[in-house]
Amino acid sequence: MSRPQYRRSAFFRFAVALPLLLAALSGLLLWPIYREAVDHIRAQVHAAIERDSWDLEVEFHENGIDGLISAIEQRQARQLDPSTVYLLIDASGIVLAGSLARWPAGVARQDRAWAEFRTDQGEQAEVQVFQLFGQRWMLVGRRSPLASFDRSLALQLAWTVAGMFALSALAAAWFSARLRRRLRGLAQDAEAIRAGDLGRRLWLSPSQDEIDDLAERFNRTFADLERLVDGARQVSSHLAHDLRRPLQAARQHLEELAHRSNLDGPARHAIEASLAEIDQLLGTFAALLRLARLQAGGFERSSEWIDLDRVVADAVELYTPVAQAAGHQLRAALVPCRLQGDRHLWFQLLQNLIENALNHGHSDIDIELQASGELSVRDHGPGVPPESLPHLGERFYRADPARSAPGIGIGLALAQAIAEHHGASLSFENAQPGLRARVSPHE
Amino acid sequence: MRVLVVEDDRHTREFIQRALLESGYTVDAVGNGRDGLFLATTEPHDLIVLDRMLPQVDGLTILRTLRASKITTPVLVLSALGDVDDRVDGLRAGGDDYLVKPFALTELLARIEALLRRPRGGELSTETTQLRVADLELDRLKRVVRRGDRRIELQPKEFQLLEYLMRHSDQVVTRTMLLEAVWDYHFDPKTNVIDVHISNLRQKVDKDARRALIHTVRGVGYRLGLEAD
Repeated sequence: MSRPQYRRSAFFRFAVALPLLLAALSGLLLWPIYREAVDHIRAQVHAAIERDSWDLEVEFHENGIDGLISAIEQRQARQLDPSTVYLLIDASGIVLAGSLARWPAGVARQDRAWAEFRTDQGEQAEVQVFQLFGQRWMLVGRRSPLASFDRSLALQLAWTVAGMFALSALAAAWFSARLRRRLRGLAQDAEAIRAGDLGRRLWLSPSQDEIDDLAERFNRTFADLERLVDGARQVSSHLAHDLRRPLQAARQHLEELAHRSNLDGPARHAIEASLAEIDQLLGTFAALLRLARLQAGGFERSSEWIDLDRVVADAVELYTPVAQAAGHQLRAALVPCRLQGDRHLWFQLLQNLIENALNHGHSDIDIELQASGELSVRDHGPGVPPESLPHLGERFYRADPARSAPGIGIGLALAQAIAEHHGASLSFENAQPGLRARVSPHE
Repeated sequence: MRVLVVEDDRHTREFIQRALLESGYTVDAVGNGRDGLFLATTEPHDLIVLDRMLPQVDGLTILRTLRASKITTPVLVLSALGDVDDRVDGLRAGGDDYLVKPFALTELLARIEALLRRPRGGELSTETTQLRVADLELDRLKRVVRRGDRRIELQPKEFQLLEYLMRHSDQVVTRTMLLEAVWDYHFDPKTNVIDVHISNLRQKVDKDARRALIHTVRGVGYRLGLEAD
């Protein structure tokens, strides 16, 4: 399957959109929880700092600056809490105690203010600033656990989202692959029906789901269509079949009459004309029956290998004098082409296309055969109105409303049936000037 | 000449019988396969006209039985089945010609005559390389045609047409017989294609000649010979 076709697929879009949506949704849901957790942690840190600073304040009030310094040193030495941050400086900024080398940049000297800064080791720290008697300043704080919390939480969040994405993508892909396979099966069935296998029905799965429900409705429609088409076909082939006998009898009577009585003049002419008319009608019936038999699949597809270029050359040879007698040329550009089929039917197809071109084109005819089996017969006549093009291969269709040209519209229908019998299609296009009939093998 | 007609449709049988009687043949006519097989194996006939679909014993079975018993009487198979495969079946079963119903009486008579005049059983004459009718000569090996002193250049199909006509000289040959013999396709052209080919051939063969050799037999086909119809 090519790329653009893939992108156009509803299932492909579904398989991408669903996980994206799920990921966005989970992000949206987890965000407030994350915020709340962060606020909670910050409040805890603040509470711990406040407890600590209260103790240190008490120490300062009771034992003075020396007591404070030793209390800070004691705390650091005991390492009860490795995340603690202390700093005590005097008025000139000299460090009296604490774990920091100097007053951190960006922290304002304002009593009881909260501040955040980054240590020399690059850790985030949360501190409270105190002004002590004698222009001394103290920082009490904690290295913030928020950064690592953020990191691990973000990591977890990312994994969760990625996992969800992967799971839902897998699920969507599996689901859509299944559906696509089913739809492809249905499409194949539909294509087969379109190609003329009217007895075929859409496949129904055992699950009897909505798709089966729809397929069953289509199947009922197909059954109705098949009945109608069969009816129409049977009417004409029954007519052809049933009318053949009485016509044949009439023909025999006339022929005997002509044979026995040595008639002359107008009577003989009348009989001969009637015989010719009856023969034409019988010929039409024979063509109709042959068409019906082809369409009903009554011919076995021949597996004999034939040289189609030979068959085309024979047809060209047969019709060249006919075209020349009418003052036209029959030109052929042929390349060797071997395929499996029935040479008699192919000859009939060519004959019908060439006769159509001769009778309606009244002009030179170009016949081309390609190695792929693509065959075209083109005249240089007036062509047909564009709206007639799709109907030319239909039984009894006449592009010429005045019905002045000979024939009853069976030749091209027969040609189309023969093409389809060989797994090809017959189409028509205006070649400006002229009409081009094209036989193209499927695939 | 004695002809056996095996045809179950009474109307068609009597029609063929009357026509053959009028053309001077002796006719045995039966309406079912069993009688047909009996007569064909017990009485000598010059030709058998055999319908393909018959009650009791069908036409192709009769044909196979005859051929299996080494009876080589020419058989013309009549059939309502006109498609190529049916035709091939008919000829493969041992038929000498195959005519699709409905047919024209003239077509039937022309084919019967052609079958009766055909040289029987592997005589050398079918392989004759030189054909001659009046002052018209055809050499199959050299592929040369002469009318008197004049050499005639022919297209391949024209050569084949002329050869067929000369092989059946002084016989009526129908258009369908010509098509089947020369083109080897089974089909039914609507325009008179064959007439155009014959007209070209006639131009070349009878041009400047004192007597025409190719004659049109109205409503039937053509005949090659000195005698006009």
